[in-house]
Amino acid sequence: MERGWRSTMQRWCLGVAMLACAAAALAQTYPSKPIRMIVPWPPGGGVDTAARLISQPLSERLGQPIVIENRPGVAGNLGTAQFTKEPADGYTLLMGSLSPNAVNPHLYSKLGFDPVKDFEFVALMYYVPSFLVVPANSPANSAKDLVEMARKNPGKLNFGSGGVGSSQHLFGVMFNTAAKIDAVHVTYKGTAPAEAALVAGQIDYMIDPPTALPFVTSGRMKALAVASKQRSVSLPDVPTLDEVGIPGVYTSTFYGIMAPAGTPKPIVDRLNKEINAILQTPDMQARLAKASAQSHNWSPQEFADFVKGEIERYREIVRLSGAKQVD
Amino acid sequence: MDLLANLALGFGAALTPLNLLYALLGTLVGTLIGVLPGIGPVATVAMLLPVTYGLPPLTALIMLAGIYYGASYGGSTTAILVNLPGEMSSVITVIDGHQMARQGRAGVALCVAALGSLFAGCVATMVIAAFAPPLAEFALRFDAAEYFSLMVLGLVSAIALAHGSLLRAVLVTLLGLLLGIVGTDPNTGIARFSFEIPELMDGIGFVAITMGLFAFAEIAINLESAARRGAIAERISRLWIGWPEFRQAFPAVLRGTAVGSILGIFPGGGATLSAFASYTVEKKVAKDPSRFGKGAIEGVAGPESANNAGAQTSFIPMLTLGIPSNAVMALMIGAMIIHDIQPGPDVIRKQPELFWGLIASMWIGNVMLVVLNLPLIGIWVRLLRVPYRLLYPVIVLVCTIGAFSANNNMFDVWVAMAFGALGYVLLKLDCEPAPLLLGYILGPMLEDNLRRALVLSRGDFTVFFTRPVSLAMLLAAAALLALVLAPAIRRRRDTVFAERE
Amino acid sequence: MQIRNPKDLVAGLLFAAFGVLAVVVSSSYAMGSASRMGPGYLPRALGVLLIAFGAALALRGLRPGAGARVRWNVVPLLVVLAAVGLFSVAAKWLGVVASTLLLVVVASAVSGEFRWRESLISGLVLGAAAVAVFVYALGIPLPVWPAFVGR
Repeated sequence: MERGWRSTMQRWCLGVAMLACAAAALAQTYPSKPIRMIVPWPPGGGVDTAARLISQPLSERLGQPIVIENRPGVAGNLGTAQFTKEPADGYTLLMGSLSPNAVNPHLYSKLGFDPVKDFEFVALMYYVPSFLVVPANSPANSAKDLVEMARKNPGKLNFGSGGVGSSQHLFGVMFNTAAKIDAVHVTYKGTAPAEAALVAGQIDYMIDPPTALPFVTSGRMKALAVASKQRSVSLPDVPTLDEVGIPGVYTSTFYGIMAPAGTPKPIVDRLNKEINAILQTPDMQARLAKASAQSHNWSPQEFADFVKGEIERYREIVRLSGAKQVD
Repeated sequence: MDLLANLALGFGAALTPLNLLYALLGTLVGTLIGVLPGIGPVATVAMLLPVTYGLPPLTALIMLAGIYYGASYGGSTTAILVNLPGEMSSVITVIDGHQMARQGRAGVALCVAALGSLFAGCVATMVIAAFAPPLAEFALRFDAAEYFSLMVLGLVSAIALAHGSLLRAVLVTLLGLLLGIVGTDPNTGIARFSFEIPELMDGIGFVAITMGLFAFAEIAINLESAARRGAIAERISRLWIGWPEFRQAFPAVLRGTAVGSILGIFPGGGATLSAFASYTVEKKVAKDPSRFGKGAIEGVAGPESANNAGAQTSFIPMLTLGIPSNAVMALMIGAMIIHDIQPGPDVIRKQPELFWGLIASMWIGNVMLVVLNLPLIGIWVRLLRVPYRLLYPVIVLVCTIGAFSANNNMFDVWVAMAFGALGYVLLKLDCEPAPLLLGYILGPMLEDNLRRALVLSRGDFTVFFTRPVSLAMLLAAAALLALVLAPAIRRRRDTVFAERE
Repeated sequence: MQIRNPKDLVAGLLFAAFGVLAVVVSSSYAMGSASRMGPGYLPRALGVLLIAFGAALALRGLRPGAGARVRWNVVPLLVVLAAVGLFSVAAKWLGVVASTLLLVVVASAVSGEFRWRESLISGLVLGAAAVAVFVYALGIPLPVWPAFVGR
């Protein structure tokens, strides 16, 4: 009896050891062929740029080429849904981001994937805060000015966005709700035309990601506040919305690498380690600082918790925005 | 004086052996890939972006710009040779360019396209060098109301495109507008005409439409009659442009350059509109407009110059403000970020050698393009000697893969098949497909700007008439419409019966 | 009554049918208000215009005039589309080489001067070229060989 138990135990230990060895071996042989990175957006733009930024140093570290595959469609849903059906062997990765992975689950009834269960969250690349920006000739010189202006003229001010359900739209709604103001939402086809309209003074304000920074530094726009918990490294003089009494507007547009659910943990850990190492290099840190981006050296678990938190947070924001559930 | 100093700085930066090599490489690769239908400048630039990571920033941008010019010109090549527009702006080139090819003048058409593009490119680059900042300010003054009026003007020119029945042109344009609306409404997020198909939520792809409408339908029509099949192969005469043709084409090139340089500065479709606008202008100033659609050289020279001038001046918003005016520009901005250059209004001040180097490289790129393509014309034209029974399966294959490659999705191939059938029916019923594409391109922009203008004016329709620029464009549209309709009405009175032989 | 110009009539009816489709489908989209035009406004307007102008064209076809008959011969169209359709279905599991061969042979069948050997050779050459250009040089994600061979 005792012997039997011991032999079971031995066998079990052996099994665990072998599994561990196999896993280690897997992580050591991985990657043995080129890796595809799916970008569910057309070339150009933030997600594509993030993918191209990481793909080269990562492929150097892994010793295998990383091929970027753009599979655009339905605000990132199409490519993301296709991605979740790829084999979970670490050879197909996704450049995940705020819209498809945390916002769209609340916007689309037929998403084609489960935002939590269908993914292994590998590593956060970085997230960027958004800024409250106004045209250079705007009478408002502070967030307080703008709020007063809006309160005096309810329904008169226009805020822009890159489309219904876009991050600028949702951030705008967050801001309007927190500041208790009533303004009209004007949509543009993407961030760039919206920024052009703001520069030209056709709209009054926008909560815009750091793509607006060059306009601010060149004096085409004024940044009145940053919508995050801390001030931004790139514009340290600009106060947070919390500081000026409009609390709770935290915008973090994240970009991170994901793998299909069931990808072996050693592979996920290996990728996480390499990506974080790349992000910690002085060269990359300098670049991130310039773009006001923050990286965190998070473990896969910390990244997963962050994304899950964002998914929950945007449920209410999407509801408030009035953006319709579409199928 | 400043300008000269700046240009000297630019040429100094651009004229290094390395940069010249990559400019040549870019235009070469761009031309070769651009000739493949369905793989336009955007796909080409995206694909070759990683190649440029290891290069110095200016060299990388010069190469990417070269790819852009090359791919654009490659699109015109297929438009002329096999009736297949490689991108939006060469839709117009198909109309008279392919007719010229059918008459054995493919070499002349390609030659005019190349030389017209070179001239337009050089002039437009000059415009950028001298006036980029004020032009960018001017473009910024365009609000939604102005854009709407510009689109209306564009639509009227679609009707002027038709060389057959006006009513048919109107109907085809309307259908195109409707097709452009398919997909998710950017204002409400509601999917329109998508019939629960996720792929349709992003609308119908341009590549799929052109592959179907032009390639598949044209091939089906050609296969119906033996007479049309052999048409091209048998008569090929000269490759080089003659003096009378040059005299005919040159004024068109001048006008096209002017039209393109102006329209190109407007982000979102300006450069595309320019080819259509130029064609309308040419048809209106021609002594005998009935030649158009039957191989008029001005119908190639004008639009080709306009589209290249527009392609150059569309750099203005990006260079001066960091605002991409089309997908290629968005990619270039992405490339700049990867090279650690923050695109935006600061580039001109902080990195003048980059800014002026890029402008200088536009000249270099345009010259390279012609140097490269003039010898290629002979080869392209020889391709037409391939018997049609061997040629058309190649076109079908390349278009099929091209349609797939647009989104790496077979759905686009099926859409192309549907449009092949539609295009066949339209051609059978004497309806030209070109206005459909213009409607399709303008439709979403027209609606988007109309709605935005009304949101901004809080529902006041008079904005379109109280804003001077908008009013001027609407008046121009009305005048053009009158010009188009007047002869038609007169003709109908005179020859109701003779109109249909 | 004899229809004088069936081309006008058929074209008119075709466009009017598209107009009806547009109006019917967009009837569920909101019209919106002047200050916030709904998603249904333009589609319905376009649909109505298509019906009106389409009807005008159709009526013109009924007017006396020289009748231009349409001669339909849809076989080449259907065969070409079938070739494309076959490729689209086959590419994922037969790979580019085999599907190209299939496309070229089927499409060539309606050339009027079809030769088996020629189209087979052409198909194989094009298959090789397609693999080289599209799969390797351009990196278009399609398999080269059938899914059930090797891997």
